Amino acid sequence: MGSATSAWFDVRRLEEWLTGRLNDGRGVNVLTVERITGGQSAETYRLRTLFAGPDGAQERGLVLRRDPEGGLVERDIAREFGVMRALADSPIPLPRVYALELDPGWLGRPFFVDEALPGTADRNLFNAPAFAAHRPLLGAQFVDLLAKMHRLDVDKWNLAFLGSPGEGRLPALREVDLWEDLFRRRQREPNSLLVEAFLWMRANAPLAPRVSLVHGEYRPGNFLYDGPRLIAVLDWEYAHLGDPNEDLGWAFMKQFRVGDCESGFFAREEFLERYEAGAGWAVDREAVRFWEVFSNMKVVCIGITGQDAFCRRTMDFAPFAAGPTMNVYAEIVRLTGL
Amino acid sequence: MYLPPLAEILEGLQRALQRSVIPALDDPYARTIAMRVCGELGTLAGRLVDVRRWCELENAEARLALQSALDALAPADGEASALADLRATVAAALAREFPSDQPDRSEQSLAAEGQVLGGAIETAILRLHELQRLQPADASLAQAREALRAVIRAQAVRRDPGLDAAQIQHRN
Repeated sequence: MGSATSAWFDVRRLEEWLTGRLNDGRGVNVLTVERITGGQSAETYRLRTLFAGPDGAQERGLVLRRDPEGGLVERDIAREFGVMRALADSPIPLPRVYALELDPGWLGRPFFVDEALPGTADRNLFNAPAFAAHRPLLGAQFVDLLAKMHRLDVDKWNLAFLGSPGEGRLPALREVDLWEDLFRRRQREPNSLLVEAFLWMRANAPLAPRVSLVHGEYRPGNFLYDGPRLIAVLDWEYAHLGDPNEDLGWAFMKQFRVGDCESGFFAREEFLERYEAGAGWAVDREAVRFWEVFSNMKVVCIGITGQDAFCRRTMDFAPFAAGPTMNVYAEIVRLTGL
Repeated sequence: MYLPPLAEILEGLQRALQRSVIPALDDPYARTIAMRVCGELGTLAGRLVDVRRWCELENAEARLALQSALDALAPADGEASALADLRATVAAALAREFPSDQPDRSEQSLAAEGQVLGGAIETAILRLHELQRLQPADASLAQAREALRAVIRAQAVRRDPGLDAAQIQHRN
């Protein structure tokens, strides 16, 4: 069967790589390449492939994640791959990763390949009429999985390579440091609101209840679902060890809220009560407010770096030309009371 | 060489994408990106129409906030003090000359003024923060900081018409 062509990379080189790395030198045909719309921190492609074998050819679906030419924030693809590999046999459902390639000689930039799972990852799933019936069940899995992830023993699952964030207020302060540094390096104009926000966050950094695996972008659109079943959590590029409340702050951002339902699922208290029951510890509501401010700041910083990348021509993605989403600023003001 | 206003050019490009390009795209990724580019062209066109009024308004607000902050701060005892340094920074930004009385002033010139004033506000906030840590009871420092925060709030509200000032919770 003929191989696909792609505007994005050399399919022959990919076939050669797949043959050597995933099929013991037997041939691999790439039948189709479909680029998936999603985050701009990594390019994602769905591949339909044919693996030659002693008993005939077998069709396999794969996903290829490649570093972008110039992303929004500096990312470490080996780290993302490492987290996914470490969690492969954990209670957290996620795609199984197969191989990482850091040599840009193959496809121009580093990439890794993982399994293609069924299901949909739709950030706007709440608008789909079919979703309404699945909301309670999907929501329950969304919250329970978050609690389960935060309860994981980071040593048992070999996640220590992510680096210790320290204890007490250090996890929060470390994240603030990272993002303030990024903001300072990439800002193209003064931004006094963010300056005030960073000062507020330093003054209000909460105590971490424990050190957990933090997904860093836990929200609708970053998981696969099929009807009422949550199949896998995706997009691990921001994963790190830190304060578990950070993920709650992200999931509670205004932009993911539908009516009064956080991430489109439950009203805040209902969400938190379910999470507390799963996690086994009480959540400090004020700490969650801190992480909401942090998350909104992070969105602004991502917009700033996107605009900077566009202006430096390291990224052609025009939707970032205008910079951060404007209403996020107002949300920071509302939450901090500046 | 005559060129139509930039906003109209962007709107024209947006229409071309909407009518001739997007309907012909079969690839879902290309279609989604084209739609986003289309939306962004509209946003940028809208901003270009308002950019002069926007810059003039925000520059005037920033200038007023810096002047209020300066007025709130008592003259420093010593020339080398942190307070004197702060006053000098704010005064220098306010004294920078921009041809604000010219009706045909370019957007670039307005934006440059905004950068200078915005930079001064950023610096002033950081220095006020340090001074307040040393002298938490100093009312003039708090007053100066509040003058600068007022302009931040005004600009945030302007960027989100859905946020009424009354919604802002003062919880500090």
